[in-house]
Amino acid sequence: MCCWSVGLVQRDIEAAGFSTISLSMIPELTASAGAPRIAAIEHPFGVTLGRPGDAAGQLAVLRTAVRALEAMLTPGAIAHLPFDWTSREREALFRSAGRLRRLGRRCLIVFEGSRDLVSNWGCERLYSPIRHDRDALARRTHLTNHHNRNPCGLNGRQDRVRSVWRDGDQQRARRNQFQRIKRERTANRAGFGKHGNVLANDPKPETGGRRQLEEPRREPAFRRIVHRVHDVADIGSRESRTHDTDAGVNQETSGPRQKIGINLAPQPFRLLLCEDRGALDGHTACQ
Amino acid sequence: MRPRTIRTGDVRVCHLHINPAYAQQDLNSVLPVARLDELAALGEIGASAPSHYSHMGYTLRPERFLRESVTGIVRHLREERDDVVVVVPV
Repeated sequence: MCCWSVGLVQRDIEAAGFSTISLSMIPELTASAGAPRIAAIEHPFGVTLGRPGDAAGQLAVLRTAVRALEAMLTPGAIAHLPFDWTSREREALFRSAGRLRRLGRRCLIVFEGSRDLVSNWGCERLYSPIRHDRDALARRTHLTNHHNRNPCGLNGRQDRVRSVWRDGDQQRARRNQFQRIKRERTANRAGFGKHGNVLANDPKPETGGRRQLEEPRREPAFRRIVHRVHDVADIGSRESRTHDTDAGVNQETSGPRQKIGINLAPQPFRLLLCEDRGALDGHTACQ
Repeated sequence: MRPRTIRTGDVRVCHLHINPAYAQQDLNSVLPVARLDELAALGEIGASAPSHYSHMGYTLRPERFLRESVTGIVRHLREERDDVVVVVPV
């Protein structure tokens, strides 16, 4: 499924009472579908978890994604996983694509890197290699420049004939509009600490933010799963739905859990266990 | 819907926009069923769910998909008493 469909599916499953997280190679696109939690990863399409045969790499990605789920506190948060596609892997992908190109017409060409997978269906030839312009995503020119056809901002020939900005009133207002969106989204990002600990520098949510929910901090990771479902239909409000599997509680709430009588006392953890709790966060170690 | 015991070679991967050869070579590159079992063996998660699900993307009109397919997935998740869902795009 694509990075946009992921957000749609995740949003509905989360609304049904499950804790969800999605990996995404285009986190902005996944977030636009209303995904509650996103683990952004710099892997190419088709190898989301890692290279074929790289069991250790795949396991590390999956483990970090599950831990990031526990670390995220605000709806719509994006955690950037500390995995990159190395030059060695990129070269291996390049060689593999060369073999594929010799196999037949409907195949793929890899030009440079992660997001440069381009279909060669119909033997159409691009006139120049596609530039890996990650800055274009940061500037969101793919949103503001209507001559771009691809939401990634990677458009082959069209990249070379990008129109020049005319700083009229409408263009300036539109650009300011997207810059405003960018500031709001980056404020909700959950980053990784110096040592890759997702819990160490867990950002304190801003008060009064559009996506802010006034709720107490979630219980320590992996001790007991307490589903805190972000209500996607009303993601900007302070109301939320709490579903506690162990206690069998499923009710609507608009305030702190202590006020509505939900028992947050630690209970034996049933499904998720974590032996290596010290690696998560020393301050929130499980008891 | 795929069982937990699915392994590379049990399914055929097709895609027109990306290279399916990697998933064909190792299914865990996109559907980490074996990696989930390893996490369960390490004690980091309780268990892998009995069933896993896959569907195609590029759904430009997703209303029916969300109404029927995703509702069915949610029903299965509840029947299997799952707790956490990891969604992986390809």
